[in-house]
Amino acid sequence: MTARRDGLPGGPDGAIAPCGLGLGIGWRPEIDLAVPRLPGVEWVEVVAENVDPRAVPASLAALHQRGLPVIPHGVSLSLGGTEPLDGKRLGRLAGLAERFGSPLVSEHVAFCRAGGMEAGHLLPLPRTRAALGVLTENIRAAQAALPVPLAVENIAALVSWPEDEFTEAQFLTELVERTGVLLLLDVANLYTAQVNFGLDPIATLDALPLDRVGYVHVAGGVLRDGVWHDTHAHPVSQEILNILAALAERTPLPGVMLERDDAYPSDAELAAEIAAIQEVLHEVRAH
Amino acid sequence: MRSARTDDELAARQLSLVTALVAGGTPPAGVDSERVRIQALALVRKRSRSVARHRPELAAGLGANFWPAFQRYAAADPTPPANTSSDAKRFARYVRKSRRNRLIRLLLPSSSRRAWLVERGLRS
Repeated sequence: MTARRDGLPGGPDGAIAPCGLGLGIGWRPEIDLAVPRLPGVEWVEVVAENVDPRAVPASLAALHQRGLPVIPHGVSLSLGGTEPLDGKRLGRLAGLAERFGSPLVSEHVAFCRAGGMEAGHLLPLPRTRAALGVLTENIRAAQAALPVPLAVENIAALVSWPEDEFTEAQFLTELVERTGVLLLLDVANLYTAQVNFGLDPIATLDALPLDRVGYVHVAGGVLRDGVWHDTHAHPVSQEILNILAALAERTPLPGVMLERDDAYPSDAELAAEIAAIQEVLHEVRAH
Repeated sequence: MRSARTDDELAARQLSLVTALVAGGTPPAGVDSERVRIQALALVRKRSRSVARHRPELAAGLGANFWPAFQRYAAADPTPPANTSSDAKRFARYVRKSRRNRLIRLLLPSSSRRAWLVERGLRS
């Protein structure tokens, strides 16, 4: 695990993980015309399930041609599922990484189907040794099939399992040690864990191998029914930006991006969200 | 490192959560059932938003009734289809059917309603 001069993590076996990405945004068809006009946006993430590498939307192809890195982000591989990984989904991630020359791809520490039934959402795993074993095997299989390093993300959960044997930080650390996987750290999901389960996000940050962070997600959510919903449809709140600041104070961040998936605001509001993230990063760097 | 027994247990726990969320099953033992209920509702809300993005004219046509209608639709058939486009199609069909049934209720006295429906093969 060698830290590179630019502050980026070295990959497993000394392979080099992503180059400095800077500030990014989740590319979505609904905001495809806004993205190129957003000041400060240096790269985009695409949801793998929604982009066919053989039929890339023109607006996305144009961004890529302009030199913006494109990172494929899978949402349905079900890395924590007990069934074997779906070769088609894995092939899609690999195909997109090839198509865009992506520096890495990402997925989640989660499961999303069981017994052939789709949950339609990312669900938390019981943090047990058995689940660690399943994840380790699946992550290794994914790494073997992918042309670039894989990063895995901490999810936003509403439910938790009574059989948990590890904290989230311990669980992720163990995964990194076993597989050399990179982390996609979602600060909104750390906030979700704080509201929904009373977990201190700073304690989680301090227990994680932050030199393995590939990039960072920032998103807004809403408090409803007494729990935090990570909707990606609301503005990013100050509490979430504060966690981003705490993270940036602890480690140089290769890439940070805004996720917005619904209730798309005006270009100006979107630009303001990006600017708020940028300001947090600048302030940390200035100190 | 993996054993078939612990994998089976994990698979069973995962299945029970998914069943509770999308097929009205009992929540897994020890998991907060209120949270499972909230999560299930959040899933339906997420589906409804995807459907609204996929078929904006359908959502616009229903206006404020969109969310209540979607909740009724999801409650009648909790297992979500494989993708948003089939979800939207099924929801559109549900809306058409409920509209037709409402019209029938409005237009026909209950005494003749059943016979009318049976005659057209809409009810057995």
